[in-house]
Amino acid sequence: MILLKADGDRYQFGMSLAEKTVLLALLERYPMIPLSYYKLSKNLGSDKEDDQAMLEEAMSSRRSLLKKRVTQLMHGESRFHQGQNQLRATFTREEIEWLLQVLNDIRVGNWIRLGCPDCEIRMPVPTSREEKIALAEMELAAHFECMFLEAVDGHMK
Amino acid sequence: MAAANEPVTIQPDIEKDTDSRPKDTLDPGYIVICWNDPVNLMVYVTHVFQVVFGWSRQKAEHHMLEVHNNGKSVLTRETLERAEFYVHRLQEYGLQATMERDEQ
Repeated sequence: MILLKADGDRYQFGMSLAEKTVLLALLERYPMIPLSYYKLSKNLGSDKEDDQAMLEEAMSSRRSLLKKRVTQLMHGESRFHQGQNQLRATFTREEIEWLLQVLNDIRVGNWIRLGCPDCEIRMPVPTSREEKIALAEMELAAHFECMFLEAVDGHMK
Repeated sequence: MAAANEPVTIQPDIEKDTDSRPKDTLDPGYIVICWNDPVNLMVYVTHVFQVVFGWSRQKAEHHMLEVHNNGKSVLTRETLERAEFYVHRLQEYGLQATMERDEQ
């Protein structure tokens, strides 16, 4: 996947059919991070359980909305066009932010499934099929994240 | 007394509301902290800080490196509501952020 052109708020990417298939399959996995992963505070006392319940409820609603948005975005009829050698897809800046949130959720969610290894020191060696899939999804999500970040942040410089 | 066909101006009751908003809601005594984890990409964390806080690349990178090297970074000091807002925004992006009472 490469950035073909950035025009104001719109970013056009070129990708192969295989990349499109992988990207869509990855996005289908959202959401993966358990709601209990997030905490509002480490130290604020009193209504901690109520606060946590409210946080999880709010997060759950936001996720449903984001899932709906990204599904509509990626499966819209005019999203992908056949170019000369590859598929072309155009996203706005806001749509890329949605995709980044979803892809990062998939990366972090798979990392949690792998037992939160310290990948800065050494990546785990997957032993089971599930672990191999989790590791592959984690790295693929990072690959697409980097593509989108390079496009928007390069443009932001 | 105003006649029936004359417009009547009703003044709103204006009272100082001291009950519905706790004092600490307006107190900028809450800090928003981002905690380190080994999974979020450094470029991603920098990007999120830029988007959520509207910071320059330089400032965002400074805080990202603080998270990376020191385990955490205090990102901002806010009222209760604003601190909650920022924590939610950072968590939407999958970052480990919390709010704490500023003891200083």
